[in-house]
Amino acid sequence: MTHFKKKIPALVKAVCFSVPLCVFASSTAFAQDLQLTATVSRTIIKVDERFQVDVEVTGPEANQAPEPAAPDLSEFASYLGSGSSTNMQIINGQMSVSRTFTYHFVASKEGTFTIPSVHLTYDGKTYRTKSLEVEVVQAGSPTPLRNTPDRGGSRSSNDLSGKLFLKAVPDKQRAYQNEPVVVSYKIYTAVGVQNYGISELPNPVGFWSEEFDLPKRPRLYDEMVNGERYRVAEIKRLALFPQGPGQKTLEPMVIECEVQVPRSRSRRDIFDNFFNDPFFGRSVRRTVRSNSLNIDVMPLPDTNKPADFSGAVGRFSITGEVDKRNVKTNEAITLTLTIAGTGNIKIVPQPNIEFPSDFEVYDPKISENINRSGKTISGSKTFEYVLIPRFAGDYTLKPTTFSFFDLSSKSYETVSTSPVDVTVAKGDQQYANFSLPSSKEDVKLIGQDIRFIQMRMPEFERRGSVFYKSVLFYVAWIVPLLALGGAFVYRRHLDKLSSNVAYARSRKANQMALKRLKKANKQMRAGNPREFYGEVSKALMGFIGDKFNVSAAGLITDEVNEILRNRGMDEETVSQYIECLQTCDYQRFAPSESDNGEMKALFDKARKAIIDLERSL
Amino acid sequence: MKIAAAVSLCMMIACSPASASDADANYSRGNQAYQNGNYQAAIKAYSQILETGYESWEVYYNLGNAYYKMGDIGRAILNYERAKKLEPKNEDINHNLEIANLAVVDRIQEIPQFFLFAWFSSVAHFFSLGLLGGIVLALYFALTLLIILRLFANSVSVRKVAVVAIIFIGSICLLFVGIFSLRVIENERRNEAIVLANKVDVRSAPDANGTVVFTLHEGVKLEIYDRSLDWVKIRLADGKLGWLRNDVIAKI
Repeated sequence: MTHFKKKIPALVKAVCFSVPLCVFASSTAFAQDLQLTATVSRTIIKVDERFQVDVEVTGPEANQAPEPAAPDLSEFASYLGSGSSTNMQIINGQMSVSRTFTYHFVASKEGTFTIPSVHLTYDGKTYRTKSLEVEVVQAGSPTPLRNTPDRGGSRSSNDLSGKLFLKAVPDKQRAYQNEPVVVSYKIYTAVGVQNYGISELPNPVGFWSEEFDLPKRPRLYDEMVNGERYRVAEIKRLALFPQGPGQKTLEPMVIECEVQVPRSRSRRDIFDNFFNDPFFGRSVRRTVRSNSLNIDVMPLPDTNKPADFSGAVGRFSITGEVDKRNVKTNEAITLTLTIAGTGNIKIVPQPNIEFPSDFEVYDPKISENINRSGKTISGSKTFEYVLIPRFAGDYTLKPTTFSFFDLSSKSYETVSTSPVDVTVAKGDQQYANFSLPSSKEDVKLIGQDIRFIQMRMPEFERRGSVFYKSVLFYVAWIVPLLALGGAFVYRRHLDKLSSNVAYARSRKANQMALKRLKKANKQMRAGNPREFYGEVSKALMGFIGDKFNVSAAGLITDEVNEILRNRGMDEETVSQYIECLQTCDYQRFAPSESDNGEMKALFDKARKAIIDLERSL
Repeated sequence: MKIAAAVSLCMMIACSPASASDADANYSRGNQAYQNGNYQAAIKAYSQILETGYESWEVYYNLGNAYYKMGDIGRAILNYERAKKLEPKNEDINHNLEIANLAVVDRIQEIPQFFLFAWFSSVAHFFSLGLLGGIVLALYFALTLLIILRLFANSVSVRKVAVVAIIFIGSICLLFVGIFSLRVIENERRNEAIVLANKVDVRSAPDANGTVVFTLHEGVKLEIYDRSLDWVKIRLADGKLGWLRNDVIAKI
């Protein structure tokens, strides 16, 4: 916090001497208790450079002051963050307290801008700072010497262009697709670089990049450029593998350096002089950009491109080895396949290996070993396959091929492993014993045998006889259906009988007529003609009455005649019926004796008449 | 059940009784040979029963055992599967089939079914097809009798009970008719076979020059989908498809 000691004299200086170099603002709000001052770390700022705005609050109660809102500089800079510090001093028995709020920004746009005043409300009073003017210049333009007061003594900048630059040096400008381009980033400096940090890495769009391992402390050497001696340090080396053909641009890398600058000769004031003392070190922070690179990427030739080419460019070799060549069934073999060489080893895919189908193959274990030191990226990729032969026999592992584009001959090359013969002997487990292959999971059954045969005499059936296709099956379906149908019809009949008198009488007519005829027959046998004719007449009348649901009691022959003719009965049936009735009437009341022959004839006639009538109904 | 038994009894009577006794003799002869360790003779005797047109799950089971003892895993599995088709829930068959399947080289992961379907399938396959037919018929008869009872019963309470029973038996009967129909359809459509050859190449087309899609070994169960002259299109339980010559497999 030493710089606060310096603040008061700087103020005096600004007021008294009006040194134009020292642009700086102090608050006008000289209230009795608080004082607000805003300063900017530098008034000429380069694009992408960081700067800070300090707001200092002084006064006995300064340490209780709230943090003022950050000035809105969105017009030309982006806000990074804030911090604060408190300083207490007792000078000549008088205590002074100051609190400083620091706001960090990074400039983003060229031009002259105003930092608006910062205000702070404390204890009901509002304090304001003056607004400040800053100029933002392009990054490459030399920074004028005139600058802010060196509050920390470390931010003034001398003209260093030409004394410090960053170069991106590619080893080639034209490359094939996937051919590595080695880019070295070198700092050239004629001044002492104390420290550097990479603030922006080149984003290798369209490249797959691999970084080389460089020693922690860059090796320094001298190089003459345009007659000037520079200290040179290589700070980064990348191998870039272009992913597709065409013109590719690599964006510049940006680093920030802390540079020791020669002592300034302008002794502006005693304080500058004091802080420029080498004892404190005078260094400036500089942002350095490298050049951007254009790389012309050529596509790989299509001629003689092997079918299994997968994009590997460089120089590779392939080896395949098994750990043992004589095994028993179900014993594991390890096949180690190694592809080694220089080039983009990382993109080497898993080779397509054809294994004998009786081998159980597990997914390979893949390991990579990449050497990033030296001038090229080299290394090896190893695939470890575990194979388990399931059957005895002599097998040959076919050669595995790998194709790549050779840069030295500019042509495709295919390398392959040599075939490996493996002899698989039958394992201890005999097939006849039916022990299980080791990979089966249901191990609980190991050693068990099948169950014994069935000894009980079975019930044999015709082969291919299917129950549901047999005639019986269909019959079994139809019979209950018929029974149900019959049951329904019968039920309906019963219902009708009980609910419909006419129906019931009509259904019973035959029965009743037959009953009466039977009675008549009895009378005939007994030799009672009068009773006989009476019964026959009753039967005939009753049948009509029942059939047509009329009362038989008062029925006379003419009515019967009328009823039957109205029903449209055929003439013969009706006349036959009426004739029978008339005979009965006549014989019942005529005194003449009739013999059995006559009665028998009438009986048959009457029965026929009833049956005929029944039929024609 | 009774009816199914009665039906089968009737059919047995209908068949010529002379060959049935031949079958009995052959069966005893086969068992004797098996017990003496003469599996070849046992196979011959059991096969004769089948050749004369008779079958029973015991014949297939014993035949499977004999083939197993001879080391012919493919035919052993084939006969166990045939026995299982006639008697799906028999423990002996399932046990021996499981052991025989352990000797099969190819392990085929069955595509897991949705659990409801799997559950339903296990219920539907609880009874053999013949038994299922018997159950359906018995339920149907019972239903018919109940309806007749409902029609002619004089007592109101009996008729009420009959209605409840009709609804109950009727729904069970419907369920069984459904299961039975599914099983009949499955029985008619399903066409499973067992690989008998030691090792066969399954090709992408019914052609000896077709690309080999995968290789199968003896005893694998597969489903036949299509035929083309000497070739059959097959599908494994895990869904793989391909063509095989039809002389290397045998239908269950």
